[in-house]
Order: sequence, then structure tokens, then C-alpha cells
Amino acid sequence: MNEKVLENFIKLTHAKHMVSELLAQSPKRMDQFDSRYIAAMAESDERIIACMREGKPFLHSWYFNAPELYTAMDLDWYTCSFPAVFAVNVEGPSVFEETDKIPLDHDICTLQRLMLRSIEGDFAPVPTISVAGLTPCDGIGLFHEALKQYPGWRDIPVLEMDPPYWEDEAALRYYGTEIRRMAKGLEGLTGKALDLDRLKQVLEESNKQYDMWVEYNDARRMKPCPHPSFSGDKIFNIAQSIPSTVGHSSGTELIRALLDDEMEMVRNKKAGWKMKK
Amino acid sequence: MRDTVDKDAIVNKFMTAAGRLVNDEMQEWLNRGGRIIGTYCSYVPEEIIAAAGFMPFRMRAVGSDSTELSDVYLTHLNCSFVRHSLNMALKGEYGFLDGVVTTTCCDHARRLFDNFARKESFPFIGMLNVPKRNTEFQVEWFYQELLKFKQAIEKQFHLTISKDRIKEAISIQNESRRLQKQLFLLRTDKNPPITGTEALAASVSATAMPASKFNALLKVLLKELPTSGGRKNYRARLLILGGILDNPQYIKLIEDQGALVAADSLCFGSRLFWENVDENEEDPLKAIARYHIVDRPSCPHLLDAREKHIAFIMDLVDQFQIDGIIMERINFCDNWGFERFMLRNTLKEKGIPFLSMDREYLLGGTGQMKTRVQAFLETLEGDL
Amino acid sequence: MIVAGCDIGSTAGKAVILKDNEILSCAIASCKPRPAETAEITMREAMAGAGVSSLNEFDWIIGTGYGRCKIDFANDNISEITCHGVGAKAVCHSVRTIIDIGGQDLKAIALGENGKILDFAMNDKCAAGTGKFIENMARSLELTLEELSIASDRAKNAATISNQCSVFAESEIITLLNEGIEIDNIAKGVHNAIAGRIMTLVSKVGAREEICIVGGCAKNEGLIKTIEDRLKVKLARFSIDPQIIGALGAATLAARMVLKKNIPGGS
Repeated sequence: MNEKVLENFIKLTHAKHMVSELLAQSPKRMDQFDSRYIAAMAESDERIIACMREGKPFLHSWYFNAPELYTAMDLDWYTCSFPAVFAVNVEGPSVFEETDKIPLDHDICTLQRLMLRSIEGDFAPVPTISVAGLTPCDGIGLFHEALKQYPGWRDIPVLEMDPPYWEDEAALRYYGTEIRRMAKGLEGLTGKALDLDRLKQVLEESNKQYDMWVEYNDARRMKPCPHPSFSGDKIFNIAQSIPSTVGHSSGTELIRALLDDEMEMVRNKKAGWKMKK
Repeated sequence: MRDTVDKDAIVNKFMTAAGRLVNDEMQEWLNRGGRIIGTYCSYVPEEIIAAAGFMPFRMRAVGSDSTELSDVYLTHLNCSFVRHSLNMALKGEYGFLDGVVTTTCCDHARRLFDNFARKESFPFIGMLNVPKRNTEFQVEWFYQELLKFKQAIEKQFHLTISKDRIKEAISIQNESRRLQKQLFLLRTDKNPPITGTEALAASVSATAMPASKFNALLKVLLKELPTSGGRKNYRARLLILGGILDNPQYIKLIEDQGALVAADSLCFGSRLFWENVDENEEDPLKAIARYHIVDRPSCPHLLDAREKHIAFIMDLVDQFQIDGIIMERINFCDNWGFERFMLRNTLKEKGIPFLSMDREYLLGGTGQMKTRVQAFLETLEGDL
Repeated sequence: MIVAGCDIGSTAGKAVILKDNEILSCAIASCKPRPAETAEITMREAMAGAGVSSLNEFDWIIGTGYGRCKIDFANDNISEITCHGVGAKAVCHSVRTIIDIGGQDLKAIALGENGKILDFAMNDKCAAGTGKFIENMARSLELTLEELSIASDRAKNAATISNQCSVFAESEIITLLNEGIEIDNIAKGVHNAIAGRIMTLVSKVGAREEICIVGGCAKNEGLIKTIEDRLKVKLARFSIDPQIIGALGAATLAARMVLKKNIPGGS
């Protein structure tokens, strides 16, 4: 295990704990929510730290890679977009300068360049299995292929699912087969079995999350808009990319708290944002 | 004496065809009532289009001078080829087409499809979902895509595409590929009878003429061309690697600095004719699916093919005694941006010098380009 | 043996005359619309300084720079990348990385220990970070280039100029001025923005010491200090004008060619 990565990852996690504790002291309801939201991220980080320390397997994955499977199989995972974005809190703006030094064309997506930097800068631990993401853009699939340029990443097994461009029955069947194959691969590599009943439970939970997300977005059409721009983004993370909340009741509760707050704002006809003067 | 005239006339024909949207052979096809379907990517199966009685035409935006109409729908962050091509479509300059077909191979090509579909710009607008992986399961998926594509053409134009017609089209296209490869291989010689500029003009012409007409021309050219005794005293043998480079003048600019562009791996070059479609396969669509997903040298968007892809380039380097590689890319292209990023480590390990050049679709910034190429050649030559 | 190097850039022409590897004279002249004319004027000035009355007296002349193909009297032309490498190596033996800030180009060149060019990187078709960029920014601040350099040195809190595009950067400067930000801090911000571009280019080829800076903008001490801060290294200073390094390299190569080709006059 690369000690530097562990050290950096712990630093990032500590920073999250600190911010979470700070926000918990605020009387504002949204700060209370953010405190829990960031704590959930830190909790997921802690599991990766434990895996690193104890030499237990964990995955690197990408949004849209059916993370409900990981919850159902009780697999630990992370996505390097978080350390990529949070690294600036530890390293400061020099992260951007370091990112510019990577010989990947600067007109390519900043997130992908920052993610490569998180790997070069020892902020993203080498997992035992990488589940590559092939959607939504050209760059992301190639980004995952490019990971093989880095020591450690070259030697780990990679699973991937090819997303069809269409949304008809044939396309769903195609993707279904890809997901099944990926799940088989995970079973083979981790020795953990996928219990379909357990997966159903997880999906029921995550469907609740998605339903509330729809409700949340609907309410944002109200005037004045009850919540600021990036709040919906948090639901995306809770339902898709924070391992401790994906398909877990704790995630559902978090989303409910956000939705409740939004509804109250709607009832009181209050705006969730202020126009910048 | 007569021979030289023939040879030069054919080379000139190819150079002229590459510099124009509509060439003489195409115009003749149109005059005789022939119809044409445009394709935006080398993964569109020309054989199916040809089997339906159409001439497949690989889309270029040659002659475009602005993007003022397309910039309403696209932004300056889109591929300049796509912007110029959409602009030409909106100006009606592709009026000779009965349809266009794109693939899902890149984000920008998909936006072309969206805009064409929304504006109903052509009677037939298609898009093929090319998978990003290359297992048997993907061959099957692409086979289904080909089947749907064939049915869509049949439905749109009220015709039937028989298995035999597809097989016949494969046979003609395979001949084109074999002849083009034969021409390409001439540059393994120390003093090849053709330049890189002329070779690209030939392979661009292959995408813009009725295949049998092109084959006949190329056959004559190959007969007339000596196998050696051509260009000498060049400073280095280069390989050019990249995407939709369709302009021989770009290669000429490199060769004018004293280089010989001895080989290429381009979307309008060797990747299109290096392998053939299996003519023994009972189901021709199966053969086409396998050709694109497994057999042919792949585009970087196909993700499981890295080692094969590197092997292809290294074989070219050996076979054509390449001194250095120029990696070109149109700005904002993720596929080729990441390809270069990954390839640079391999090339460094193998000690093969390379030069990265960014470009816009239309040839411009030639002063800078000349400086870069000249300096690259000077570094290849070593101590001055 | 008398040889010359003539470097016709986008904003200035430079010429160096060497006699037995010693600089006899050099000249710098502003560009005329036609590169051939710039070359002629620059060369005539250098010849006057060296007391050379006729072009026939030269054993060999090499042209370089943006207008290198338009220099009628040159025997040969070589890219400015190679010439900068040779020129910098001639005056600073330990140099491994060269930064060239020209009027419209920005380049980073990596040299091997033997002076061979290992790699180079150039700015894309964009003026950000070039001499033109600095000129435009100075003009928006109503400063001369010297004043810009001094102002930048006085700055306490550099302003941030986030836009790489020179047109947008100019409007950003106007906004900063309207917000009442001190000119010194904006000047430093301009230099920071350029230093950022240079960092990127230098990283592309690898920043090996010793690093030197050539081209017209190498005379801007404020900029040099900013680059030193960002790269965290001390840049090498030359004993001669950094703007003529390309021409010196061309002249040095001309001398080598005379020897190599046994052109009459070479010994």
C-alpha cells in the first residue's frame, strides 16, 4: 500500500469530518442537512481507509455503473471524482497547476483531468478491482482506459459495461446482459455472492430515493424557487455515488430531510436563494 | 510516353477529387440518375448502402468557409469538422444526398444526428450504435444494428436488399481495400513512386466515387506505377496518426518541409483497408459486423483494443521504416486526445520520436505548423 | 570566416555577424510589413556595425524565425527552435530548458546535455502569454512595457486574471480597474497569467535546470521574477541581449556548416 495515498486520503476524510462538525453547530436547517450529507461521505471514506489498512478488497467505480449492486453485495467502493475535487482543500490551488502539467489536451473535460491528477498526486488509492464507466461522454471511457498507464492500476482486473445508445426493449436487454456479466465478474473476483432478494430490497430503497428526487425537482418549478441551484446535485450523489447512502435507508432519510425542507419553503413561499447584488 | 500521361492523369484525378465536394465520377453517377447516401464515420457499412443501389459517400466539409449557420445549434467547443459540415448542410450544399448516416462513435457526431433528425434535413437519417467493447456479444449487438439499418433503408426507399447483393458489394469493397493496400505498401520502398500526399488523395477518392469506377482507375494506376525510383533525398520517413484528416494539402505541407509521409493510421487512410470482410461467411451482415468490431484496426473509441492498436502502429513503424510519428487531432476531440495521452508513454518507451499537432478542420495556422514540422525534422536529423 | 544569422520574427528582425566565432556585431529592427524588407534593414544595420560592406563577404548566412523562408540573401534556413537551442547553448553551456517568449509564439525547448533538442512545445493558435499579449495588457493599463515591469515588482496582492484569451483578459483588466484594484496588482496579475502559460509549456517538455529565457520579453525583469517565483528556480541570465539568441544560433550553425561543407573560407 502506498503510504502517501493513505495519508492523503485520511487528510481528505478528516477535512470532511471537520466541516461536518462545524456545520452541525449551526442552527440553520440546511447547514444541519449539509453536516449529515458530508458525514455520509466521510463514513464511506472510512470504509476505504479500513480496506487499505487491512488489505481488504475495494472497488473503484463510476456513476451510472449500477451501484445498487455494490450495496446489495456489501462491497466497498469509491469514485476518484471526490478526491479529485476535494484535493484542492488539502493542497490548495496548486492542484490546478499540477493538473495543467498532465500531458492531456487542455480542452478535455476538467473533471477528467482533475481525476488523473488525483491519481498522479496520490489522492486516489489503487483499488483491487476497477469498474470502468463508459457513459455519458467519449472522454470517460477513455479516461478509464488511461488509468492503465499508472503503476498499480495496470495490474488490476477491470470490469465494464457497454451502455447502448438506444432506449428500446432490445437495448434494455443488451444492457441487462452487460450488467449480469459484470455482476458475475464481481462474484468471481470478490468471492461474494449476489443475492437477488437482497438486490430487490436495495432497489426498492433506491427507487424510493429516485421517486423523491422527481418530487424534489418538480417542486423546484415553483416561484420563488425553494432551493438553490446545486441542491439537486446532492440527491444525485446520495442516490448514485456515496456508497453509504446508495440504496440504504440512511440515504432515503437524507433525501427526505431535503425534500421536507423544500416543501416547507414552498408552503411559506420563500426563496431558497438570494440574487447576488 | 502514353503511360506517364495515364499515371499522372489518374493521380491528378484523385488530387482534384480530394479537393472538391463533387468530383467528375460522382457527377456522372448523379447524371445517370444514381443516388447517394452520405456516411459520417468509417464504421458505417458502405456495403449495405451499395447493395441498396446507392453510392456511399464519406462526408467531408471541403470548400466550407464559415460556421455562421451551424453555430446557432453548436458551440465553439464542438469539433470544427462537425460545425463546418452542419453549416454546409444548412446551406443546402449536400443537396445531392438522399440520406446521411452517422454513428455513436463520438459525442460530436451524435450532435450532428440530433440536428439532422430535428430539422429533417435529408429523406433518410440514420445512426448506428457502435459498441465500445469488442467481445462476441458486441459483434451480435452490432449485427442487430446492421439488420435494423438494412430494414430502415428498405422501408424508406421501398426496396429489398438481397443477401447476394450484399455479398457482391462486399466483394467489390474488398477489391477496393486490396488495391488501396497495394498502393499503400508501395511506400515501404526507399524511393516510393508516390508521395504521402498522393496516397491520401487516393484513399479519400475511394470514399467519393462509385467503387467499381474507383477500382478501375486504381488498377490502371497500379499497373503504370513503377515499384521504385520515385521520391528521394527526403529528410525523414514519417507516419501520421489521427482521425478524420481528409485534406491531402495537410500532408503536402509536411512533405514540403522535406519529409516523406510514408504511412498513416487515419480515418481516411490505412485503417479503412488494412483488413477485408470475410467473403466465406454465410451471413454477410455477420461478416460485416465482425469486420468492424473485431478484425479491422480500430478507432480509439473501442476500448478493449489497446494492445492490438499499438501492435498495428508498431508494425507500420517497422514495415515502413518510420523515423518519427506526427499525431494530429482536431481540437476538442476526446477520442484522439486520450489516444495521444496513452500512446506517448508507449512511444517514449520504444524510443520513437513524435510530434503532437492540434488543428482545426480547415487548414490554417500554416506558419506555426511549418515551424513545428521543420523543427521536428531537425531533431530527427540530430546534430547540425 | 565571416558568417551571419538572421532571425525574422513577427515583431522584430534580429541579425548577428560572427567572425571566427566572435560576435562582430548585432542588430535589432522593428518589423516591416514584408519579412524580406525587415531582413534587409536588419542585416544592413548589422553589417554597418561590423564594417562589412558587401553580402559577398559572408561565407554562409542562415535565416530563421517566422519569416525564414523570405530572406533572399540567406543560403539556408533552419527553424527558430533549433536556432534558439544552439544559441542558448553557445552562451550558457549548462542550459537544459529554454523558454522563448516571442511576439506571437511561446515555446519551451528541452535540450540534452550535448545540446541536442529532445523535445519542444509551442502555444496553439492563440496569443495568450505571448509578447503581443503583454503589449495589449500594458496598453489597457496605459503603461509602457518598462513601467509594467516596474509596477509588477511593486505589487503586494496580485490580482487574478483568469481569462487566457487576450481579448477577454483585456476586458477583465478594465473590470478590475473599475473595481478600483491598484494598477501594480493588476500588472502582477498579468505576469502571473503569462507565467501560468509558461509553466504549462515547460511542464510539457520537462523543467530541467538550468532554465533560461530568450526572446524580446526576456528583457522584462518583472516577468522574469514572476516566472522564477512560479517555477521555484532561478533563471539563467545571459551576458548578451536575450533577444538575439535565435540569430546567434543561426550564425553559429552557419559557421558549423562552413566547416562541415568545406565551403571556401572554412578552415
